[in-house]
Formats: sequence, C-alpha cells, structure tokens
Amino acid sequence: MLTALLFSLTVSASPRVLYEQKCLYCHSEEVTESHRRTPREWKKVVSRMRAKAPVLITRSDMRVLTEYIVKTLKLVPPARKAPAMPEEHAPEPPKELEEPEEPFPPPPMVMAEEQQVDEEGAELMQRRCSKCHTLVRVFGKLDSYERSLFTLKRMRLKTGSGISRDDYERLEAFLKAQFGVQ
Amino acid sequence: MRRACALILLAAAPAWAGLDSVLLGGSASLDYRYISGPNPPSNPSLLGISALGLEVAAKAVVDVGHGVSFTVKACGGCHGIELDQAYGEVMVRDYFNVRAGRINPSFGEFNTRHDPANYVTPSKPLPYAMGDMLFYTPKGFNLGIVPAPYVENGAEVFGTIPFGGSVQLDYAVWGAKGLAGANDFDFAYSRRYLDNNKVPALGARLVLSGADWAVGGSASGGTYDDADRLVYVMGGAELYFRVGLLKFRGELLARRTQLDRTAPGYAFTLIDDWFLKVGWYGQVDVEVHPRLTIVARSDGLHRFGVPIPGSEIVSTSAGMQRQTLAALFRITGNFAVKADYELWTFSGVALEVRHVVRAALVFGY
Repeated sequence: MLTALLFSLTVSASPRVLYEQKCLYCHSEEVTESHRRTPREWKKVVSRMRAKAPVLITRSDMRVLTEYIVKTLKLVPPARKAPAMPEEHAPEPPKELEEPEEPFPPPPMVMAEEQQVDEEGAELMQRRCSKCHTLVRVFGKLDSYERSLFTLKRMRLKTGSGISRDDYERLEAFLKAQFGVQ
Repeated sequence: MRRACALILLAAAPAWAGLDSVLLGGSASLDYRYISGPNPPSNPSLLGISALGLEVAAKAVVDVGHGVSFTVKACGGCHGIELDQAYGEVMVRDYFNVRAGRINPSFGEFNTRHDPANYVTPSKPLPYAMGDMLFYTPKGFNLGIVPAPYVENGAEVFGTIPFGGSVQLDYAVWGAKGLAGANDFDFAYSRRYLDNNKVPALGARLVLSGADWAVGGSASGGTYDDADRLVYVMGGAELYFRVGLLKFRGELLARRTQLDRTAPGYAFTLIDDWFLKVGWYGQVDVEVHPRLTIVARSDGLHRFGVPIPGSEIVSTSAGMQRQTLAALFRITGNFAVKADYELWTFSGVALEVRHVVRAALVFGY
C-alpha cells in the first residue's frame, strides 16, 4: 500500500501524468500520437484544445504539454538530411549536415502567481468534484465561464458537497483566470 | 404515455432555452455478474439479477436565469424507462433554496452519487441495494433500507450555513409522497407518480463538513400502506474523510417498519408488529494512479423481527455480509471499466456462501 502511495505521489507531478490526464482525457494515444507536427503546429493544437476545455487544460498546462509532446515524445518531423552528392564532386563535409531544426517556440511563461492560481484551482476542483464524481467528465461540460459558474453554484448547494464559501471563491477566481474573465 | 412525455421533455429541453443555457449529461453501464453455486432460473429469481444488466440515463439541466433552473433526468434499467428527476429549482440564498417536483430527496450520502458513473464499485452498498442484491425478493430479504435512486414527488428546502473557514453545515428538509407497499416496502410501487395514501412523508438531512471530511445524519418517516395505517421510520449516519490518496466512506442506516397484523400467514405469533432492518457499509478508495482506483468495501444488511408471510427466511434475526475488492480503470475521462470480487456470507438463515464476480463497462458524458 505504501509503495502504491509513493508511486502515485511520484508520478502525479510528472508531465507524463499531465499528458495522460489532459490529452488522453478525450483522445487515445493512437490519435494524439498519430501525427508529427512542427513545434509551432503543436503549440497551435494545444492552444486549440485548451479553447475547447479551458478548465481541463489550464494556462500553465499549455507550456508543459507542448514541451512534453515536442521534446519527450518527439512528435516532430524527422530532421531532413542534405541531398547526397557524387563523391568526386563532393566538397568538404560541412560542419552541419542536417538542416537546422525549427526553433521551439513554447507558449509564453505564465507568472508565478498565475501558475499558483492554476495549480491550486485545478487541484481543488479535482478534490471537491471527485468526492461524488468518479469519472472526470465534469471537465467536458465546463466549456464557458457562465456554464462553469452555474454548475459550480448548483454543485456547491448540493447537501454534503463539501464545497465551502471559501472554496467557491477560489474556484471562481480559477475559472475567471482560465476563461480570461476580468 | 408518461415515459414518452419524459423523453420528449428531455429531448426538447435544449430547444426551449438555447444550447448555451443547457447542460446535458448521461451515462450507460453494462454490467455482467457471475454468481457461484446453483443459479435457479430467473424471472423472478431469489438470487436477483444473475447475468447481464444495463442501466442508461440522460439528463438535461436548463438554466433559466436568476438562479432558476429546471432538471429532467430519465433512466432505463430493470423496470424500463423511468423518470428519475423532473424538478424546478430556485437558488435564493446560500442558506435558503427550494426544489420541487420529482426529486431525489436528501437521505443518506450514497444517494447523491447513485448514478453508475459516480460510484467506483460495480455494485451499490447493501443498504441501498435493490435487484442487484442476492435474495432480494419478498421471499428473501426484500430489498435494502432505502432505494437508490430514491425517487419522490415532493418539495425540498435546502441550503448551507458557513461556520467559518471551510467548515459549514448543509441542511435539507423535505416533504414527499413517501415510500409505498402493502406489508413491507415495494420500491417499484414507491416510484409511481400518484401517492398511494393521504399522509405525506417527511425527511431531513444534516451534514457538517470541512476541507476533507464530512459527518452527517438523515431521518425520514411516514405511512406506507394504502390505508395510512402502517408507519415506517428510518434514519442514517454518515462519515467521509480523505487523507492523501485515501478516501473513506461509511454509512449506517436503519429502518423500522410496521407490519400488518391483519395479514395471514406469519410464521410466528406477532407480538411486536414491526421489524427492524439495519444496513451498513464502510469502504476505502485508493487512487493508486489517476487512471486506477482500488476499493475495499465491507457491507451488510440485517433484519430483526418476524419475517413477512411467504418469506423463506424463518428466523427473527437474519442477515447478509459482503466483502468486496473492486477496481475502476479509467480508459478516458468518459469511459471506464469496473470489476470486483464479492464474498457473500449469511447468518440466521440456511443459505450457502456465494462468490460473485462482476465486471462493468461505464460510459459517462
């Protein structure tokens, strides 16, 4: 049991787990890993996915997920070799035979304070929702600020929800941050 | 006709209010169980459901605005398509809110997560069991303490009172038509739309909760027979806490049900015209990985009192205990596999030990 707990604590912080929780929430690995894209394209894909489920993929997740896909999974096009030339005409081998890789433009860093709001909000939401919900399907429903707030209010008032006024305010701030609401 | 209306209402709900103000949800659970030992033919079987079961549900919540919403949920299972919820809700203040219509009244903790997509094990705890309980018919233990889902026509006032920090007291007080039956309950009869008698049932639930814990209790009572002569009273206590990756849930429920003295065929002379049914469960959920949750659960149901006429239980004290080891594996956020092993033992009744293995595919959206 202790081993399982330690294992779980270890993996819960890794980008791999974040990838599983966020990307594989909706897609299978066969789908997410079927295409190779340039880092710039991956950034756009993750950004597009975040627009669909802003509470699932937080601002802070954007950078971690994009970096994990590009640098760890290496789902980028293979580096192209320069075309081979006949031996007699071959010049001195250049120092760099491969075309330079496209520079990786990771999503902008979020401020430490923003990151804290994201991490604490996501953790709090997971903690409170998982009291009654086994599947994390809740994230699929929260696709707009108004809808999210309405759901949060309804759930909070369920008898025994365990969502306090303090929790509500923190989650409201988290939702505002994810949907860009002032 | 009513079922058709429910489905039409459910299907039409998004069109009334515009999709932006509608929340849709639903689930499906395909559940197979293998029961060791002799399996008598089904329809009806004392054993209960002994093979494949299916539950489906679809729900729409329409946000009308200004704190007003309307909820419709239809579900299909052992008894065909039924209306689980159809109520209007007004959120006035944190401490005062109202819902009325066809509601799931607040009684016990498990009832708030009665949908198969909301609990980890393939089976419900025994105090809430219906047809998925072994020997569930009137010839056996005749169901658990309270049905899950517990469906009523009535009104509920509910709210939450903060005590500072994360501590708060949630309350719910309700009046409804009440559970129904002839000489002991019939959960299917209880779900009918018209009240079978004139006296409404009353109930309440109180839950004191903090950051990662909750303790509470429920109570309800009323008359259950057509003639308003037979009284039932039931109550429960609940406990929840979370430590790291461990979640503990426990409930103790009891129901005192008056028996019909005029009914013929009791196995014993009826001195006390009531029986007491006590049910409990305690379970620990461990989320060993975001995709995998393992559960150990111990639950039971015990009946004290004269058996109802026709029952094959011939003891005034008989019960069942079950030990369960279960796992839930989330394939995606919407799709999961559940499996468990259950050891059923019995006391006060000549029934053999049963081993049950269950597996379920669960989809939720």
